[in-house]
Parts: sequence; structure tokens; C-alpha cells
Amino acid sequence: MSAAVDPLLPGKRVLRVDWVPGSDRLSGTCFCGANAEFQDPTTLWAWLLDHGAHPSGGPAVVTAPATGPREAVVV
Amino acid sequence: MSTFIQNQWYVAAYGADIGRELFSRTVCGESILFWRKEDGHVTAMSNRCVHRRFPLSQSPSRLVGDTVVCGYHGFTYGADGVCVAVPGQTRVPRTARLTAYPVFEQDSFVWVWIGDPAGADTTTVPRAPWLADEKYATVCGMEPLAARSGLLIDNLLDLSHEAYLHGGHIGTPEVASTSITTEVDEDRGVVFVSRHMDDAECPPFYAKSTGIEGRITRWQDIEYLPPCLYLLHSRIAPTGVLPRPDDTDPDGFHVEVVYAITPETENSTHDFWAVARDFALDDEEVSDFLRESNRTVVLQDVVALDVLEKAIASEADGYQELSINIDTGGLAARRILKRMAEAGAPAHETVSR
Repeated sequence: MSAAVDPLLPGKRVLRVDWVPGSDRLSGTCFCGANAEFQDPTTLWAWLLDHGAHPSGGPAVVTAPATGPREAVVV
Repeated sequence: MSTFIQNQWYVAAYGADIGRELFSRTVCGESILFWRKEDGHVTAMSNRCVHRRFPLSQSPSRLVGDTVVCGYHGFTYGADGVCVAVPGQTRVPRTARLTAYPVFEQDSFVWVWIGDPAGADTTTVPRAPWLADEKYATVCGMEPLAARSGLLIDNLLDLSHEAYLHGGHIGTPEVASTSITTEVDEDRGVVFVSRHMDDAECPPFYAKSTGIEGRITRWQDIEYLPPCLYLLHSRIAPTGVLPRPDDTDPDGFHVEVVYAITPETENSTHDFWAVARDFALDDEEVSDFLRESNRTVVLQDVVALDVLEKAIASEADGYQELSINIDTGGLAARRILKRMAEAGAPAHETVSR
């Protein structure tokens, strides 16, 4: 199957979730650039919507274990 | 207090449904009377006579010019809902007026505004332009759904169910096994769910309508504009055939599948559906096939969701659902709908965190 499609919504505050090809993990990306992976969509959305808690200063990567964002480690 | 999302446009009917006969439809729990004035414009007002609540859509109520005459005692209302005559007296009580609803006809739909009329802005009515575009051929219908609107929204935001509920029609194994990208525009309150299959089995729905033999490239791009309008931009082409570098796509077949999801009551929904295609425009056999096929698919959903509604309605509160990856888009839609319900206003007016 094809890789994730390019962004299609042109807005400034677009949240994006990719179902990572070849795995069971969901990759969430906030409009601020923060990114994290989760195993279920409920915890993913909780994290995505908590934009204020995302790393500031531009794109950053959060590696979130399967248990959810509360145990996320900021890299 | 109403639990329906207020201050929104909802599809009440197809324009073709409304003429010089009185027509009623319940939208968000409100029984509304529709009719077309002599100048051709649609008007909408409460379907209950202010006198003894007789439904004005009920015979022998009737249209006389641009007035509605109640079939019970003869109260007569103008196109703006104001009572202009009552029986046996010359004085018409000042309070004798029907609630008037903002109404707007666009893209073959009749939209009605539910909420404070002062907020009705016709420039915000969502668009489905293919339905009234001569470059497309459209078939359409509406099926009553004995289930809450949220169940249909869940259903349409997760098309992986096609492989199971609609196998043999539109479902193939690839629909349930292809990666998905979901995007949410926080400012516009729009959910986008994209599934692009590079090499997929061609389901009968598309094989018979396009004439493609063999495997296909199949794109499904969902655009949900809460609360009412759902668009599925579908592209089908032989495997490997893609749009050209200049963004034209003469080698692809395009089908715009449109749903309008209008709550009737807390536990029932008007399930409007339309299929617009940009090929075989004058082929009535293709139209008949797509009409029957899509109606069959819609009815498969209706049967399933009616059963699901009964199951949910009979269980205790607090059931903890399980959501998995395929539900990402559906959960996004639920969140926006919840936000809209709380605000009673369009999502874009709500400042998110």
C-alpha cells in the first residue's frame, strides 16, 4: 500500500494522524510540529489536543510508550 | 433544552421534493412545514397551527396562493408565518404567528437553519457542487434511519466496515487493511480521512459502472463538515494510472459520494445520499445500477444501525467502548460535534487549546 499522502488540508492549525504503514502504531503531529506515537486513538487525541503541553520552540519529537502520553519522554 | 446542535444548517429535503404541495419534515426534533412560493422560492415555518396545534401539512390544510390555510379552523398564514386571517372575527391576535425558519436552496438540497435566526448566514452553507453540475450525473435518495445520527457518523468516518458489511458491493479486503491519514482543521472544524489503495480488487460497484477490468488504484478521501455534510471523494483508475503532472486527471474515474446526516429525533435520522460521477453521463443503465447499488449499501447500513440503536438504547449508561486505529477519524468527529454542542455555535468560533 502507498505511504502516507501529502498534507491535504491547507489550514494553519491542522492536526494530523498517520496510521504508520506496516505497524499498529498511530503517529500524531500537532500544527506546532510536535510528534508522538501511540497505540490507540483515544490517548493520541488527548495528547494532540493538549497543544499547550507540547514542546515549544518548533518541531520536537515525543516518544510515547503504548501506555499513553503521560509517560512520554521529551527528546 | 434541546440536545441537538444549535445554530447550524441542516439538509431538510431535496429541492425536487418541495413544490406547491405542503411538505413537512422533522429536523432536530422540530416539525417544520415547507412549501414553494409562487415566485419559486422555498419557505419554511412551524408545522403547528398556533390555535390548536393542528399539523398544517395535514389535509385538508391547503395552499391558497402564497398563504397556508389550516384545515381545522381556517387560520391563514402568509409565507413569513404571520397569521393574516382567523375565522369569525376581523381582529387577528398579534401573537398569531408561526416560527419562521431561515431556508436556503443550494446544490439540489434545501437547507434549514436550526437555532437563532439572527445567526443564519447563507454564505456558510456547506457545498456539494457536483450535485448540481452538468459535468456530473447524479443519482440520489433518502432513507429513514431509526438510529441516532452519531451512529451514522461513526459508520461513515470508518470505511473499513465496507469490507465486512458491504462485501460484494463496495467492500474489498484492501479497504480494511490500507493505512489511513486523518487530518483535522481546528479552525474550520473539518475532518479529513484519506485512504489510498495502490493495487486493489475492483468491487462490483465500480467494475460495472466504469467498465474497468482487473485491479485498480482506488482513493477514498473523506471530508466531513460537521454536523450535517459528508463528502467522499472517490477516484478509481486501472492500477498505476495516476493524475498527470499538471494535476489534470482525464484517465481517472471520479465519484463524489455525498451524505447529509440530519437528526430527526434523538433516536432517528434522515439519511440523505447522492452519488455523482464524471463518466458515462448519459448512460441510464449506469445510473440505474449506481442508484440501486448505493441504495442497497445504504440499506445494509440502515439495518445494522437500527439494530445497534436498539442495543445501545436498552443498555445501562456508562458502557466503555473500545476504539482502535480505524476509529481515529470517528473520534475526531465526535470531539468536534461535542464542541459544537457545547458552544451552540460553529466550531470555528470556538477557541481550542
